[in-house]
Amino acid sequence: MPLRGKSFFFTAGVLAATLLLGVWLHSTRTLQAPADQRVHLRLAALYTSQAMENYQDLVDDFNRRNPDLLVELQGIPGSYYDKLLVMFAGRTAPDVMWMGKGMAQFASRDAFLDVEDEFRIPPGHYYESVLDCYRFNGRLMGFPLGADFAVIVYNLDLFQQAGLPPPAPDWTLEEFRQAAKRLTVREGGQVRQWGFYGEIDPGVFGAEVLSPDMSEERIDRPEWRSYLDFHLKLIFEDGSMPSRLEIPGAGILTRRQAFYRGQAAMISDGFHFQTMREEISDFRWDIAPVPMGARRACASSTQGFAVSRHTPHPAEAVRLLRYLVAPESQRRMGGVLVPSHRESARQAIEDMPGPPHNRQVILDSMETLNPFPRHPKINELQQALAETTRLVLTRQQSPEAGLRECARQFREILGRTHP
Amino acid sequence: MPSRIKSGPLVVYGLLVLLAASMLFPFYWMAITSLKGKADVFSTEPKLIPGRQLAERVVDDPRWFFHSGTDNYSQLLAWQRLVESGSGPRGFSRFVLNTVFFALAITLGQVITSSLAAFAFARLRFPGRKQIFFAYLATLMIPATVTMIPSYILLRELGWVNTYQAVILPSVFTAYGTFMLRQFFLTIPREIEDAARIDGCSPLGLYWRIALPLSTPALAALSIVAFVGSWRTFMWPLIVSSTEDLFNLPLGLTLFRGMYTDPDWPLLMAGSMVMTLPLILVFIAGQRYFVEGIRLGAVKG
Amino acid sequence: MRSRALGIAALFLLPNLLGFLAFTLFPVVASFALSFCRWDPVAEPVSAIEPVGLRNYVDLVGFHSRTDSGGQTSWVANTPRFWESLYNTVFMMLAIPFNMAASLLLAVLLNRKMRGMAIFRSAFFLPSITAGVGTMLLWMWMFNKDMGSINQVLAWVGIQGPDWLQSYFWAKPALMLMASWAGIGGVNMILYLAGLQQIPRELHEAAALDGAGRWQQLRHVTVPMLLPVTFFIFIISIISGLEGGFDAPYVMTGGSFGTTTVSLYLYRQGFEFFRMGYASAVAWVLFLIVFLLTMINWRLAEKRVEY
Repeated sequence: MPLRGKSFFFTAGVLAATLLLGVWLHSTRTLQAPADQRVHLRLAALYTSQAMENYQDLVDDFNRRNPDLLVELQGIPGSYYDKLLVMFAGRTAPDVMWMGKGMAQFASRDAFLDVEDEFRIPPGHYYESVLDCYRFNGRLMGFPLGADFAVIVYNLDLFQQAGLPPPAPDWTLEEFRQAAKRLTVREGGQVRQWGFYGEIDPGVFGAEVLSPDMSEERIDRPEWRSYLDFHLKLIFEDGSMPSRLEIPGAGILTRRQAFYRGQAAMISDGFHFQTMREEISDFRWDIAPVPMGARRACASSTQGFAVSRHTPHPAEAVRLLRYLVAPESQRRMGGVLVPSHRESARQAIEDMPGPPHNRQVILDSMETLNPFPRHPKINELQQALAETTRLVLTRQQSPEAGLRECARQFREILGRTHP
Repeated sequence: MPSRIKSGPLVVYGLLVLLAASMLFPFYWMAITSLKGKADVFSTEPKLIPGRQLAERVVDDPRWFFHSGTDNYSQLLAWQRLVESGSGPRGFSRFVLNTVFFALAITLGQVITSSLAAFAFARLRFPGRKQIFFAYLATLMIPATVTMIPSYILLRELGWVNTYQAVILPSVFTAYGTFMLRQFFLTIPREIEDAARIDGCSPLGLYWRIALPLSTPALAALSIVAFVGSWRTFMWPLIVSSTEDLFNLPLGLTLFRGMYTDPDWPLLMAGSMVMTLPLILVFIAGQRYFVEGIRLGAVKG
Repeated sequence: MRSRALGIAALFLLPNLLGFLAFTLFPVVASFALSFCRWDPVAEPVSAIEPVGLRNYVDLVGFHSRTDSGGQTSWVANTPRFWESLYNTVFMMLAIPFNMAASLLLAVLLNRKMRGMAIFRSAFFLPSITAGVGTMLLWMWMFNKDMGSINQVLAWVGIQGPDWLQSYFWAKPALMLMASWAGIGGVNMILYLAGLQQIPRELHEAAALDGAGRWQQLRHVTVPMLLPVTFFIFIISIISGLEGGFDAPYVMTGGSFGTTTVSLYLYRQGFEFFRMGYASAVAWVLFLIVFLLTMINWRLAEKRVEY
């Protein structure tokens, strides 16, 4: 049977080639053998092309300054917290790691080394609200590089076309709503230009998620009701905001793209002005504070670094942490975050090329950050709240029913002692 | 309906063309997007025929195509960011070679070992056959989400984290291939086996001379399934690798995504094209085993 | 004689069985043990895993324990999230018989010597290899209420299309449609193609001599001969139907509008809420369901084919 002979030799050939390829690939790996006396530290970060270059520069500089240490930067290209979870489960977590929105979920489980005593923080030199995001039971469990938050980004040309003055620093929710209405342009029954695309933080309406001691929900309250009603009015009554909510992972038409194309006159967006400057060339734009409601608040997130509680080299790892979050390092990250160090923040904002020109908004917003409570079940609570918002704002559920159901779920999650 | 098919291949062709067009549409869209500039993707509402604009532009200025259109691809292929030390292939070419190696090793390992096991389950009688086979079946029914951490801890105990074998071995001994080939071996008529047995054929001979040649289409099918699956695998290599020199294409391609910028869709689509094209070639090479009518020739030979 | 048979079988089995025991069976057994424990993988090392008996299973059925400040433990009914996700999943699995029939028909259509068949086969196979976030984005475009191509086409015939991905009623069918598109020409079609090749040509020739038409040949020769393959495809479809379907709802609907599948639920419990023990219990309830379905099928199949 000639066929069998042929396929036998073919398979054997492929097998041999595969083995050779494997041996060759294995022998050309770039692993550094720990042959020297240096202490090896692993630093993990979510891989994003811009941030990675910054981190690599920092690591190279640190390695030069600390001849007794060798830091290896490990860029994780996705599913960052999934991978961290598996590594913690196997007790092979990196010595130092970047942290973003997962901070509370991990830190509240004692994943990180208490570094409260490692930092002497002179009063008033740092944004306390940002440091607080890394404090658990009053102790620092890592150190924040800085914060990112949502402000209102607006298209100045479209404001002028609509005969509107630029937003005042103290504009109210009602003024904002009227502006969004005026900025909406319809053409043959279809909206050609939306007044607003985004979200106003619930805090603006006075809404809170949990009681200060985090033991009770504060969901089924009039503040949350007015938060939902306001957005429902924008979407269905005024028609000034698209109903399609952004969905995690991928968007159909993301807010920013709508803004770049002049299809949204205002969006709520974070501190990524660098990208915006590159993308927008054909209109003038600037930023305005989130409109004033019951109080001032803006959605925020923080980024920083933390040391694994299981690191075999705590002293060295803390040394690396201190270097990574030092004011000089923070200034390098100024393009993507507002530093937690006040002076660095001021300088980074000053050095930033325009637009935006209204930079005071950035510094003011740093004082009104409204982070989600740092509860150990933060992911579960956030998921429940996001689900409710999504259903109510697509009118699949009434605000009353949604909030009642959400509050019930909150009580269930908070009350469950068996995890 | 089948009786109408008989009336002429024209109807079959027409039906197939219509269906195939709807199947090809996303691929077509991917190809078109991969040739666009970043700003162009969302510049108009997605149209039913998304390529028209691009075609107009190419006709207007053919040179634009070679500058902007191939930009994404050259950007991909030139990409490198591995640490300086080491002498082997780096960056994108290393991702490609790793992917090829993973896919070949997993496919070969699966086909060879599971065809042996499947033969035992389908054609041999031995105590515990049913029980062991059920254990195989059972492992198919547990989602990978909950076995991931135990697998990882096992590999850590073996000291294999961040090695090639850690990526490959757990994907080789899955029950899928064994179960599938068993089903195909079952369809081999017993008369052929009995005849060979009377001629003094050993079990190994039965496997080698009867079962394998008669199941070439099934082996080709398993190879395609295993190859495609391991070529596209993302989560497991991510979990067990800690350095970029172990990344495959799906992992490598996510490196192009920025956190603050919106994803660069044209570049990502160019990456998907690079991912997909080799698979299409593998499929075209493998699918010919579905037409040659190997079975009869082999038995008569 | 018995030991000789065992020896020969071992020769065939061992290469796979050894690896199977270590890399496939061990993690499965470990997850079984975990389903009777509470384990927060970040907070506790493996050594501190605490057995809790059947609590995870009771929680999943609909009750969890609550310890009040006085140390009293009571059982509280909770939201039947697991059952909801199971309902969503089973609903979406209703497409399985249709998909299998379509795959078989497609394979029969493509299993002929005609010019260009290789191209057609590749075209139908393509969706299953290009499926990913990129194609999901495209489908999100197509499902879009105002600008999506599906509603555009519907508008031509005067139908006002729904907001596919953002309504309780349409989100599931939309995801099912997308999954069918990706799945019909994929692995199942390949397996059917391979199965069709396994059928000895003599059987068809004999049937033709007996005066059987194409339809009768399909019914009396093709379908019975494809039973073992169909059995495999059916089992695998049930398994992947119950345990797959994670990416699409995650990316396209965020799991809202009744699209949280069991696999998405399981992932969230384990990897987002760090309830590994509970997630394992969910996995093993799924196992029980799939196993029972498989057994029923096995018995039915055994009656029809000699195994």
